[in-house]
Amino acid sequence: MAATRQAIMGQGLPPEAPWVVFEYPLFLVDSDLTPIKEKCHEIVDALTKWQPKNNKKGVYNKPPVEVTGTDYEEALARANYLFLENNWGDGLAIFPPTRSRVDWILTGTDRNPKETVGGSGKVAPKAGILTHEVLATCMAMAGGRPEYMPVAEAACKTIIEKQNTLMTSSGGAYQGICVNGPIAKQIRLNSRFSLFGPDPKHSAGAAIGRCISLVLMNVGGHVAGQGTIAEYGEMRFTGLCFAENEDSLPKGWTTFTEEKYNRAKGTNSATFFITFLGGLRPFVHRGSGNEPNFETEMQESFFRAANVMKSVWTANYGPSPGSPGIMFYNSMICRNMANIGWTKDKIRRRLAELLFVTQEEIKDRTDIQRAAAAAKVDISNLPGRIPLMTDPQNINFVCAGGDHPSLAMWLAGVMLLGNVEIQLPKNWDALLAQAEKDLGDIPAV
Amino acid sequence: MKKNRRDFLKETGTAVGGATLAVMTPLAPAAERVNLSLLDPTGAQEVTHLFAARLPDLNGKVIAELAVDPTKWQPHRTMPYIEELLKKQFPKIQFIPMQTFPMGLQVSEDRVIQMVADRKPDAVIIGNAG
Repeated sequence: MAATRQAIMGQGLPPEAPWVVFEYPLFLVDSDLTPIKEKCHEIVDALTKWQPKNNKKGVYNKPPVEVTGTDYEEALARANYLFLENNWGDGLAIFPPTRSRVDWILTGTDRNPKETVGGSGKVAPKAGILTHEVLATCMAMAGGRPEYMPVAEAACKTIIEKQNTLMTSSGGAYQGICVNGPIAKQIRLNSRFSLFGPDPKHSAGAAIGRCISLVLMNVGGHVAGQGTIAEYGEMRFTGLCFAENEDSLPKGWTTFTEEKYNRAKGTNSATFFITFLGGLRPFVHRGSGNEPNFETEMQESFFRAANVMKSVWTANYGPSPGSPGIMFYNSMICRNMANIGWTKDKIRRRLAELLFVTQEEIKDRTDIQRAAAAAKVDISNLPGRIPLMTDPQNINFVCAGGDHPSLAMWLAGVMLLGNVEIQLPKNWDALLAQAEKDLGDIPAV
Repeated sequence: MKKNRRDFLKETGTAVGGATLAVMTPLAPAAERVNLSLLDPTGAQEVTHLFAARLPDLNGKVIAELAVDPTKWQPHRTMPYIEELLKKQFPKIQFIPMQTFPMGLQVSEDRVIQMVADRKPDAVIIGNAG
């Protein structure tokens, strides 16, 4: 019911509705429908008698909240407890978003604090209004810094433009941000070892990712069991926030955003995406070492890649060009492949060839047979190898991860929602200089 | 009022387990409390639409049905049963079946709302939420 409330608020209605609530068993296959008969009078009342408590149009703001303590340590603890009690925290400790801390974070944008992000500022499903001040509040809570704001703003523009509600569903969808351009190094965003964290020398991804999670939760209403019914939640503390290792790409290989979004290399941009098919699937890229040559080792790595790429997640079947995903190869693997003539297009074509199921694999699958019958498809007339990825362009490549020959990573079920150019504030150099004072020199790698 | 251990120690200056709070004897001036004013992270909420007035009676009224999927949450069984029960009470009630409109997450899209409005129903039943 709480999830429905968020959806209703997202339609611009007051946070209540004339609903009739039934327990889950009613909605299962072959269920007993008696509860409907028992509550039929409630359905009639909802259509004829119900009245909302609040029925006035307008914008409803909430004032700051106060906490006190005998000393700062106690006040800090009370702030954390209050935020959890209000469903505003994520379970990890927060920095209290005081006026002074939020104002400091706001030095990372030239925008007016009260200006909404990305037009309406409304974040689905609840349609809370995201201003730059609210974004800075979430960034402060996440332990972020001013120079992280441009990436967070860019990601939020996509969130607001696309109004995607997949993360409200029971599936384990979670969000990700891929950053391209020199800003990644400047703000210490990771592109190598421990790509998805933690890495104290590259802490930006944790704070930015957590900030976006807090925006989705607080402004969008993605609260566990209320605005989202994700059963497992998966990587929702921070999502994925990383950079492409552009400097180490092999000669002739383009960056992810050059290839996908036609961005010039060196353009700062943030790609916001959601992954929803079980997310990260590592596989062993390296062979056993007894292969006759390097080409064979590379070729055989594709078999292992295909194994993790082809698992089918859903119970609904239909014609599909293949589920999009991102293949993470670190720069060592990229260079090794490039040295023996493999291009991104050649790799994706070969991987797509290996993504198939056979007649033998589906001969006992009543679910697939039923879907085929509904679509009037004669399974016996299908080819011996039934392709799962008819459009190889759904295999995206990002060069990132620690430079080691062992593993590569397939991120399944990726919905690329948008790529936005990052706008830097006028005081950018001063922000970076302050970051060097606070955090030390930018790591060489 | 029951005091916690910290308050007890503060007010008495008692030394316990090797820890002493001697500077916090009752004779010492009371320490100033720390106050933190914290900004709201949830953003403002805008109410742009109000609920329609309820119907005085369902007899002779047209009720549209919207479903978030055709079978998974069993609307193919629950909606017809609701129709049947309401028809018993209000013999002149009419329904626009859920199959008339798109199903899935798009039920909240403007185009679907417009499709419903074009049929000029008096009320809408939406179900079955997951």
